Amino acid sequence: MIKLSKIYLNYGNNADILKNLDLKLTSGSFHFLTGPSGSGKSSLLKLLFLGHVPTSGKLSIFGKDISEISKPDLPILRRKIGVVFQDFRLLDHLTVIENVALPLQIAGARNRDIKDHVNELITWVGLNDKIDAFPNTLSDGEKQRIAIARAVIGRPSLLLADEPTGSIDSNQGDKIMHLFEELNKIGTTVIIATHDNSLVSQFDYPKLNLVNGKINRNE
Amino acid sequence: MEKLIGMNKKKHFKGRISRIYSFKRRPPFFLFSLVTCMIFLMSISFYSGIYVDFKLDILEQKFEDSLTIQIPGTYGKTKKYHTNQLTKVINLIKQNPKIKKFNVITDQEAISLLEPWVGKNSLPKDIIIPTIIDLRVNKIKDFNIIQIEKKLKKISQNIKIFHNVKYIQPNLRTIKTIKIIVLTIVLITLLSLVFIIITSAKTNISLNSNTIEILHLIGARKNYIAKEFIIQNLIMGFSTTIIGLIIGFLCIIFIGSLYFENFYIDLIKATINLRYLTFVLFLPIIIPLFFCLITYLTIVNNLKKLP
Ligand SMILES: Nc1ncnc2c1ncn2[C@@H]1O[C@H](COP(=O)(O)OP(=O)(O)OP(=O)(O)O)[C@@H](O)[C@H]1O
Ligand SMILES: [Mg+2]
Repeated sequence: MIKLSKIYLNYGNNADILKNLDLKLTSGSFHFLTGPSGSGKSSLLKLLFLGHVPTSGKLSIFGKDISEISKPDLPILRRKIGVVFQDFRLLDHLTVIENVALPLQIAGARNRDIKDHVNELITWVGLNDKIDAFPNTLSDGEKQRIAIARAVIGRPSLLLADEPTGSIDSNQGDKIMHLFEELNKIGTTVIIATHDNSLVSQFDYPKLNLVNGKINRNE
Repeated sequence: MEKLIGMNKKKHFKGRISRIYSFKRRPPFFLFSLVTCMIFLMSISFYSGIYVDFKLDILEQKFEDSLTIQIPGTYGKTKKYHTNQLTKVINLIKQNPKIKKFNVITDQEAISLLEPWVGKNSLPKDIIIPTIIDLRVNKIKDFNIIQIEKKLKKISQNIKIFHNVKYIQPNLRTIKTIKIIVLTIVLITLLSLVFIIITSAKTNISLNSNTIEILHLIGARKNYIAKEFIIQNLIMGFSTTIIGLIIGFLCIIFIGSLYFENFYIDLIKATINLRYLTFVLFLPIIIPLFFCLITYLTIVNNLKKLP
C-alpha cells in the first residue's frame, strides 16, 4: 500500500528532516505517527499526500511508484487521499457546506447527488447550524471539524490526519476518532499524526515514532 | 406556478451549494481600480487623439479643396468695367458643376480690412477695390485648374487663380508632427494598459496561490482550477473596460466643452468612423479575453512549480 525506502527530505540548505527513512504500511491499517514537535511528522505526511517530492529515495503509494506516474494521472491519485491539514487550509470564500462538498465536486459529482451526503456529515461533526457560515467566522475547533469532514467526504483509500484533535475538546475528539475507526473498517488506511499522548494511549493501534528523521516502530 | 415557487424556496434553502464558485471570489478592489484607472487614461488619450485627428483633417480638407480667384482693378478703367468683369467671372463659376460653393468678398468687407491703414471714410467713393472670390470644390483632384485659368485669362490677363493649400504648406509638417505625437501617446497608454493588465492578472493569482495549492492537493485538474478564475476575470475585464471608457468619455466631454465650441458633436462625429468605432466596441471583448489568457498562463505556470 505505502512503501518508502531510503527517503531523504531536505527543504533547502538546512539539515535533513528525514534521513534514510524506510516504511511499509499495509492496506487497511491504522497507525499513529508520533514524535516531538519539529521532528518532521507533517513533512512525512506531506510526502504521502504528494505535496512535496522527497529529496531522494523511492516512494510508492497504492502500489505505484510516484515518480513513474504521469502528471495527468496525479489528480486521480490525489482524490483517493483524504488530508486533514494541521492548519486546516479551508477555502475562505466558500461556505462550510461548499468546503466540505469540494472534493466531490472536483471528482465530477453533481450538486443534487452530493447534497444529502454532505449535510449528513456536517451534522455528524456537529456543525449543521453553521452550514452557511464562512470559515473565518468559525473557531479553530469548528474549522478543524470542517477540515476533517472535507477529508473524509470522498471515502478516501488513504486518510492522513495531522493533529486532527489538536483544537477540539475530548468529547468531540472521541467522536472524530470513532469516525476514523468506522472509515478504517470499510478499508481506509489511516495515519494520524499527533503528540497527544493521552489520545495515543486510549487506543490500541500501532505507533510510528519519528525521531531523528527515522521511524521507530513500536507495535 | 407551484413548481416555480418550489424552486425558489429550494434556492434559499439552508446549505445551498453554488454551482460556480468563481462568482464568489471578488477580485481585490485595488486591482479593479488600477485597471479601471489605466483604461480611463487610455480612453482619454484615445478620445482626445481622435478629436485632434478629426479637427486637423477638417483643416487640411478646408485648404486642400479650396481655391481663390483675385480680380485686381485695372489702371484707367471705370468701376463699371470692373463690375462687368466680376459678373463674367461669376457666370463662369456658376457654369462649372464641380464648384460646390463660392463666396465673393464684398467691397465693404475689403474696405473694412483696409481701414487700419487708410483710416475711416478716407477712401474715395469711386475707387476700385480688388475683388477676392473663395471657391470650394468637391475634390481637388477632379478639378482642372489649368482649364479654368485659361478661361479666366480670356476675361482679363490680370485675373489670378491659385490653390489655397499653398498657404498652409509650411504648416502641413506641423500637422503631421502633431498627429504622430498624438498617435504615440495613444500607443504608449495602450502598452501601459497591456502591462497593467498582465501585472494585475498575475497579482490576482499570486494573492490566490493558497487556493490554487489547496485545490491542486485535493485533486483538481488544471482546467477546473482555471475555471475558478475565468468568470471572475471576464467580469473584471468587462466592467473595468466599460467603466473606464464611459468615465473617460464623460471627462473628455466636460473638459473639451470648457474650451471648444460644439466639442460634444465633433467628438461623436469623430468617433463614428469605422476604424475608431471598431476599436471602442472591441475593447470590452478583447480586454476580458486578454485577462483570461494571462490568468490561464499564470495558473499553468504556478501549477508547474507544484509537485
Ligand atoms: N516548507 C518548509 N521549508 C523549510 N523548512 C521547513 C518547511 N516545513 C517544515 N520545515 C522544517 O522541518 C522541520 C519539521 O517540520 P514539521 O512541520 O514536519 O514538524 P512536525 O513534526 O509536524 O512538528 P509539529 O508537531 O510541531 O507539527 C521543522 O524544523 C521545520 O522548521
Ligand atoms: Mg506538524
